[in-house]
Amino acid sequence: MNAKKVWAGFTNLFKYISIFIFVLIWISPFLWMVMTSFRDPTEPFSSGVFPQNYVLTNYAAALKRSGLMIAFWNSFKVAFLASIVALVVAIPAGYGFSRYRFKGHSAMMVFLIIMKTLPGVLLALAIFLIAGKVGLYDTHLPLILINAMLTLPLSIWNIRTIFDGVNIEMEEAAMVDGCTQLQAIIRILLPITTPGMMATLAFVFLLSWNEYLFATTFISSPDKVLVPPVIAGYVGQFAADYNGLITASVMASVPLIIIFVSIQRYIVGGLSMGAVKG
Amino acid sequence: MTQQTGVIGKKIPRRKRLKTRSRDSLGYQFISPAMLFFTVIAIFPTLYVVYLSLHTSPRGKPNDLTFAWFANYIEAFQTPALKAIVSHTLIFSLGSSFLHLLFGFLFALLLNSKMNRRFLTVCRTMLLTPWAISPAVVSMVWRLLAHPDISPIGYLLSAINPEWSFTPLASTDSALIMLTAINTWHFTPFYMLLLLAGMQAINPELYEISRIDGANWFQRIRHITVPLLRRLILTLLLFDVLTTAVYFDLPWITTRGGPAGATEVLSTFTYKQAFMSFDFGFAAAISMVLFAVSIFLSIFVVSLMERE
Repeated sequence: MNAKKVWAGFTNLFKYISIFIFVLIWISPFLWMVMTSFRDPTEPFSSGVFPQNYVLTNYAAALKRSGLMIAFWNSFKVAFLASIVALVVAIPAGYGFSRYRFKGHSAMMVFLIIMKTLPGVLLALAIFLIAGKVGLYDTHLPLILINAMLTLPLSIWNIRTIFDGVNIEMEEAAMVDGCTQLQAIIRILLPITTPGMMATLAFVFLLSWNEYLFATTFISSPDKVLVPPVIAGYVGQFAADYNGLITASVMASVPLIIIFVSIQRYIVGGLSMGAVKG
Repeated sequence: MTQQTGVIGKKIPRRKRLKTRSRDSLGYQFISPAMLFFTVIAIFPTLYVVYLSLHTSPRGKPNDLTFAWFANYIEAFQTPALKAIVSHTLIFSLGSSFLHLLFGFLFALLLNSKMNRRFLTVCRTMLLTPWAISPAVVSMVWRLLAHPDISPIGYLLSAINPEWSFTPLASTDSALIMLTAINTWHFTPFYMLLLLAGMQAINPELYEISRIDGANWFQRIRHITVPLLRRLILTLLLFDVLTTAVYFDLPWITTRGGPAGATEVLSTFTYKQAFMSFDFGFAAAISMVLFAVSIFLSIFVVSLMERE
């Protein structure tokens, strides 16, 4: 009896350890990237998988590279403004979809899904020509608007799901007490849904920060570039500075991974809604 | 009494709703800014692409347009490499979608199991990380992981046998498979998360009853989990096939369609036609065909599912 228990505990432990090792192997490309960013740049890659010494030389070099820092600032600006624009447009839309059943309601939800499958290259070539005509080529404005539009279906689904979870009687009670509908939304509905709204904002920020196609097509001046095109062009641009490339990659990814992991439970609802409604 | 589907799909008697809520026009007012946004930034450019696709322009002068009927479409269907490009696109898109759902399903099963909660949270967090990384970073890091001088995988292989190497992106036989593998790695967390949400919505009593009836683990998945998630899986599959078929970032940054055109897909080919050959009319025609096929496919599949 006792031996059986010990054996069961042993197989259980084995199960946990093997699953954990599998997960580690699955994300090992990411782990390699983080470890390599601390590798001494003079140490050849042929000397081993793991760095012999962990140093901060690469980070010091990256912080001194002014072009890279400008790209980080530009990316931050574009992604932040895009997420503000997306939220300002998506909050009323999410409210409308949540609280009203108007004619064409479900057709509009399907329309949002079709917008998600619109080929990026198609939009890129049209907006490239249009932006050139109206003098917006090589500016951040089209990127802000495009990123807001690309993430809008998702923001709307997500905000709709959040509003669906709030009982309509709360607003109605406020309106009976003399609030207008707008006041009820701003004073009652938005304060209790703030965590979900912030998560949506952060998610739009993340997707816009990571966007590559439009960022590489619409910007040509070195003082306006965004991070993804800089990283994608690293090897050609600075010869074979692989350590610099990896360090810039870690700097561009790790803060967003931390944000993403902390908000993911708030966005699953909107994501699955988008999927199920299709 | 008239019933209406209300918040979270619950049936609410109409009299309980505010009087104003029965008016359609207010609902339209709330969604109108979003619709205006889509009209200006998505629908208008799409119509402009339709217009462009019916015109030709001299190379390098994209604004000097001449009406040419369907010349661009005819040219598109006569492109010598078209067959290869379409088959690369299909392999990449169908292969990635199948693997996303397969791994996503298995990971979701693991995370939905009855193991230690804290352990599962750690696993879930770790498995999610690839999805939050930018496609540009994923592409460049995998280029290094497949680089003959840098790759740690190549280093380990050559430690076992000096003649072995790991350069899958350099060979025409394996480059497309490698792209599919990278794409699988990158986006599996998304499908894992959605399938997990689907599994958590299944009533646990169903599993208890079938356990009492003597069903084993595999039978419970085969006869409860899969049938109940069928609709979700099909929708995700459709969405995945469509978005991967037009996916640009990874094939472009990793291989630019090379080596020797082995990874040329519709998106990279179209991009080259537009931004390297400056043949915008031709590129517009290809992207229109692509978009038309994807709309047709999605409407077809959605209507199939509605009929069920």
